[in-house]
Amino acid sequence: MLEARDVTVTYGAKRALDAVSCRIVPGEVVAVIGPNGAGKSTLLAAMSGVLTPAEGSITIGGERVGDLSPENLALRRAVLEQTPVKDLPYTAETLVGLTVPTVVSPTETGEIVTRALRAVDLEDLRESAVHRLSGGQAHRAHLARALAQLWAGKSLGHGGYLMIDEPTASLDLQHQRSVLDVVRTVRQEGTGVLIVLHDLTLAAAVADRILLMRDGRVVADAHPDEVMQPDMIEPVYETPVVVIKQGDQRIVAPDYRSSVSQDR
Amino acid sequence: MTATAEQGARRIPLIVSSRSALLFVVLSVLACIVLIAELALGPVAISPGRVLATLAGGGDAMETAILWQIRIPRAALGIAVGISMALSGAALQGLLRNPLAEPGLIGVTAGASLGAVMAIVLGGLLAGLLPEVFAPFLLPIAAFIGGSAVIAILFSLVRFSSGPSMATLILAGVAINAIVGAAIGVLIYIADDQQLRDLTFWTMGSLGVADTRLIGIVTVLALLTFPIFLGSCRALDLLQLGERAAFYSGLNVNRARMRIAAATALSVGAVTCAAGPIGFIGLVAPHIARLMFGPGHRVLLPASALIGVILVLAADLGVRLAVPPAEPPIGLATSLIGGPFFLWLLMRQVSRGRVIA
Repeated sequence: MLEARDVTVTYGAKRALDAVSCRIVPGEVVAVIGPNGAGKSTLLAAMSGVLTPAEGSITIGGERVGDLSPENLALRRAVLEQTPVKDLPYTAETLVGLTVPTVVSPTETGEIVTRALRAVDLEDLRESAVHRLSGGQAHRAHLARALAQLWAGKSLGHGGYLMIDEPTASLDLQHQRSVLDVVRTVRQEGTGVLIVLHDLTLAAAVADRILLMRDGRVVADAHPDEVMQPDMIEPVYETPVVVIKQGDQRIVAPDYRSSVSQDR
Repeated sequence: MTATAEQGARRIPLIVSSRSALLFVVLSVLACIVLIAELALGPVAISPGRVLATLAGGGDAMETAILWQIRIPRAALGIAVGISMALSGAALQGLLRNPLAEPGLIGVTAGASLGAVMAIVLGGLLAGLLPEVFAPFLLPIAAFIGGSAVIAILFSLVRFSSGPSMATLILAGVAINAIVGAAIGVLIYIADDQQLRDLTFWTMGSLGVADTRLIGIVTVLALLTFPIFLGSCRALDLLQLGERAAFYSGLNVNRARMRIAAATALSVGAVTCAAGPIGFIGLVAPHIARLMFGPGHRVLLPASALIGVILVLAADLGVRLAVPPAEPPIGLATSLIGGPFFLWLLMRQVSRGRVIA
């Protein structure tokens, strides 16, 4: 289990996270949503171990994240940043194999790399330099890198967690879909996923549980059906929304009908 | 090639490719040729056969004296300079994720120079205070401290930006070089005539150092950093993803950065205190290596070192044979070749829209 207990992170006088608690069990997808500046990325940074909280504790599989070396942490969780470096001279397959620990045998590394590239549908471009790929392709290559690290950790006998920070920010629909597919695949393998999302419809579709945040606090931590209600979303985002139910899918969108622009 | 080796090739494609292996052999042969030429050529030419015979102990008194007292120390220092500057350049470029980082341009060499000049001019004051054993190490230690100080300043400057920008680094280098230039000026002003002569030639960079004990010390120090650099290959590869992603991938970023910085300060300090500031090798050698072998540091670092040795020894040969028996400083030659190379690189970066990012 990946767990944060009463975690507080401060930037100067500002409390970016204020006594936040949350937990992710293996095979569960938790989506973090909230307006800009709510503390979503800070929560992910704290849970990934890159940021040390001022108060509270973060544990992964019962071990304190702060006590684990970067090497050991990397075996237990993989992270995809919001804007990974695109200007890289490496080929896609070199990039994907780069974060596989050297203790994994070359044969197995090769297999993991191929599987990861296939999972993001980049097998045809495995020998292309990353800086020559499109933005979406480069992002997918980095997603494959995180997957390869995750699978390498699993092959070495560690539990895996995947953390993804706003993967769909600048990506088209097809790519958003591929992120969704990857998250569902690793979930079936028993990986716990923490994913920060701007797109509420995508969050509703992918998550088992949704963490709604505002001003560094958790406003709601519940099933998507409970969180995706206008009376939950509207006060947090300070904007009217409509929630449309279509089959078992919930589509959440801003309600533009009440916008002042209509009166112009 | 076995199946396992093929998988290894799959993993980091350049490591066992036959093209790379061939290029490595070619470079090694080239290095041997310039090394033998460095030993054989000069005011008194000694044939390669006689060089080998003398090395084996069968030369006459004059050949033995020329080789062991002049040319071998010179070649050893050249090798140390080539390896140190090339590895430091390649490692700094990887660490700072900036292809234009070079010990000279960003001020590390200047810091080491200041340390060395202070030791030359003010060393007499310290000599009485230090135990006798430390005396031969005073110059390398002072240069190491100077280089380390500059690296510390650079790191604190770039610490808070997501990636050190070209502008920050170059401007910091301009400032550091200016400050050091002024400080060296002050020291020159107070130096006596003999020190002045020593300093003037020293600041132009030369392999013609008379003190063979100093050469021995700096060569050993420079070679000691070799395994540290080679042990940092994976770290440098991962750092290309950015520091945060490198941490996510399992790299202890702070430790890796300290290790590479210390190795750089030590090796630049060591060769600079003996040979003076020799510019641009740290820029040119890694670039040639990158063009030949690609970006993976496991191949890039040893290739850079080999190319660095070839460049330094060839430049030294060039200046020694240009106007014999006079020996213009080698630093002039490397800067004459390296300066235009840097400009070309800069223009290429500008045309790609990548400079001052």
